[in-house]
Amino acid sequence: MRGVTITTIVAPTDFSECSLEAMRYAIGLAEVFSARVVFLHVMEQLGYEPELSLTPAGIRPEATRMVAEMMQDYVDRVRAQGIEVEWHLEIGAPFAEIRGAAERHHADLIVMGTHGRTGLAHVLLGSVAERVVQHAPCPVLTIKAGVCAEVVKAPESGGARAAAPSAPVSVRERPEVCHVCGQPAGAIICERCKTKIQAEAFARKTRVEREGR
Amino acid sequence: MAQAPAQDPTFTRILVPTDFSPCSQDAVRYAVMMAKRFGASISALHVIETMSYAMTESLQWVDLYAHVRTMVEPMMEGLVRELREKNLTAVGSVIQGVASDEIIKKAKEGAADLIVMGTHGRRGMRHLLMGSVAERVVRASPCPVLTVRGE
Repeated sequence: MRGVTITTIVAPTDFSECSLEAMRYAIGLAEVFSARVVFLHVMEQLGYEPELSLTPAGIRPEATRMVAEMMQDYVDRVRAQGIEVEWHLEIGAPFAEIRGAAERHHADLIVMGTHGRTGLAHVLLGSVAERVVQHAPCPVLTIKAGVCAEVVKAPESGGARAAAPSAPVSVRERPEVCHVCGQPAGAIICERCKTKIQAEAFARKTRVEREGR
Repeated sequence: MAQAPAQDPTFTRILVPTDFSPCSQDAVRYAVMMAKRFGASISALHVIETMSYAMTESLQWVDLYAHVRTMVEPMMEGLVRELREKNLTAVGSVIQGVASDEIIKKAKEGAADLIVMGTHGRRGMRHLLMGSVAERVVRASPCPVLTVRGE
């Protein structure tokens, strides 16, 4: 039996509860294996035609700034624990970017949540984790939403731990900015844009189907 | 702003489903690595898949399962021996059922905190069926799952 080890961990995150928990696992493993952690956030490229008014040109800078702030803050604190860590922001299709990053950084482990942001993102993109599990160039450790919830709730010694797993707390404290319209919203994509995207996706689907006949 | 994530996640009971395919053997290597680093115990599991048309319970099928069992049990014993030779705490079990269901059930029963498994086992038509067991386990697992793709 050949031995195996872990030297570089790639941990994609979309700042969902589940991926925050996955980030904790990544850090824990990095500590145990003295490995390097590469955090990765992928800004989704919505595959719509320009005329659909969804081109995120105008909103990118704001979203980018927000992500950069959260990432840098988190990474600084991880680094303070003596762990070699870096973060990257990529724009594109999550699965392709995750695989690309794993290859580029010679990852020997990917750690990620099984469920990212729920709702629309899930409908549009399917399960990123599933594709990564099937096609990643290295082993993948998946952390599930339910598990995350349990771990977070688990009573720990002292109250200091209470807020610990919520990593970049600012994700929740700060009113989020909608990734599509750039207006403050309670979620990554606001309700108005969600409805709009759904409607446009539906219109597109029916159009494509009609053409196909 | 909370302090940097404290409380490292840890693994104490690792479940390793195996079908003794090369991919599964790779998974075993990862399980060994994790077990050693975290001082965890390993529970190896082989599921003899129930065939849907075996519901007739004809004598032949009963015989077939018995035959598979006599074939698989020594393999499981060998694996457990191999793990124990590495100074790991290990147990093995062979059960019959639907692979993903039995794996989840076992993980819950044994309070596993990590499942390590290959993404494609013995089934053919890789592109269609690849990882269907692993996929279902990842989706339904009560604990983190480490999936390992064969070389």
